[in-house]
Parts: sequence; structure tokens; C-alpha cells
Amino acid sequence: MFRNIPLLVLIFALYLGLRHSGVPIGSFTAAVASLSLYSSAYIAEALRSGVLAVETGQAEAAAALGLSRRTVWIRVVLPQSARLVIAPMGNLLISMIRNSAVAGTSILAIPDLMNQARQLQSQTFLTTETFFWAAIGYLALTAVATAAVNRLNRWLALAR
Amino acid sequence: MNVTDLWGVLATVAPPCYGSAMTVLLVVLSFAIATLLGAFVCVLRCCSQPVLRATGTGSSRCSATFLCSS
Repeated sequence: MFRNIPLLVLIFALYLGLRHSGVPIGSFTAAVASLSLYSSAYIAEALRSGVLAVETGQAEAAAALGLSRRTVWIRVVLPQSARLVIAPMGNLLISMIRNSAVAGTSILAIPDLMNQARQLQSQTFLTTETFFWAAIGYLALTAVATAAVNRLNRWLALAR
Repeated sequence: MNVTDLWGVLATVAPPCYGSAMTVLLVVLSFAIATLLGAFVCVLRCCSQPVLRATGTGSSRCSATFLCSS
């Protein structure tokens, strides 16, 4: 369901809707909740595809050896699916970094990188320079995330 | 560099650093919660749809059904 709702609409619905219902939700909490709900739908699909990619025969063979369901899950299924899931999860992490700018520019006004850039721009009127450096900031954040994901991928990869 | 210059540099550098830190905090918290929610939804979906028809021969079962089936 959440995959079909734009993030901005979700932020409005969650923040204003809960406040209207009398729930005193803070802007940061609303931002975390909306980003989590929005991304969890995609993450669930990524995890599910990773689990489905592990052949059932693997789990059945492990069960035939007398391993408990818990051990089968932890020792057989999860390690194999984790390797497959790292790349799509990395993509989702990067898209979440980019989506966080929506929370900064929306009514929530989280003081994130984009919001700080907007404030700086309104004070100095240096539009191009300010947003150029904001873009560099996001590029740096995504580069660090990509490097971390690649490192994790190499660490989990099988020695060939 | 005197103290006034130093404050000037700090005033220029502080907002982007604070903004980046807030972005990182927001993303890390959201990603952690989203992963937990996603894992929960994944197990729920695997348990509710245990038999998945594969193309061609036979059918395949989701490995996660080991969590919910005896």
C-alpha cells in the first residue's frame, strides 16, 4: 500500500492527521515514521526476493540432517539470502538519503542538509552556489553509503 | 587568522555540518526501523502465501515458511 503513496502525501497525512487526532507527534518523529513506512514496503520486497532466491531444497536438506528450524533459518537460509539482499538494500539506503530531502523541505522542516541549504540561500541569495554545495553534500553522503555497502558485499562474499 | 575570522569560518561551516549530521541521523533511524518492519512484513507474506507456483515444472515453497509451518 505504501508503495503507491507519494512520500510527501504520507508526510502530510501522518503529521497533520495524527496532530488533528490529538496525538502530539513531533516533526522529527513524523519524519522518521514516514520515511520508515515508505521504505519498509520496498525493503520487505527486497528481503522476500532474497529469501525466495534460496532454494527450498537447501532448507529441506538441512532439516533432513536433523537441524532445528531455528538453526536451519540462521545457519542455512539467512547467510545465503543476506548476500543476495545487500545490493538492493544498498540501493534503498541511497534512495532513502535522497528522499530525506523531502522531509527537510516539507512542513516538517527538519533541519537537515536541504533545509540548511534553503535557509542559507534565503539569507545570502546565492542560489546556485548554495544548492551546488548541497548537491555535493548529498553526493558525499551517498558515496560513503555506497562504499560501506561495497565493503559489506566484499566481506560477505564467498572466497572463490 | 584572528578570532573574528575563526567565528566567520565556523558560522559558514557549522550549518552544512549540522545539516549533514541531521540527515545521517534521520536516515540511520529510518533505515533501521524500516528494515525491522520490512523483515516482519516479509515473514508475514511468506507465511500467508506458502505455495508459489513456479513457471514450468512443479511449484516452489518459500524458505521462510519453515518459520511458520511445523
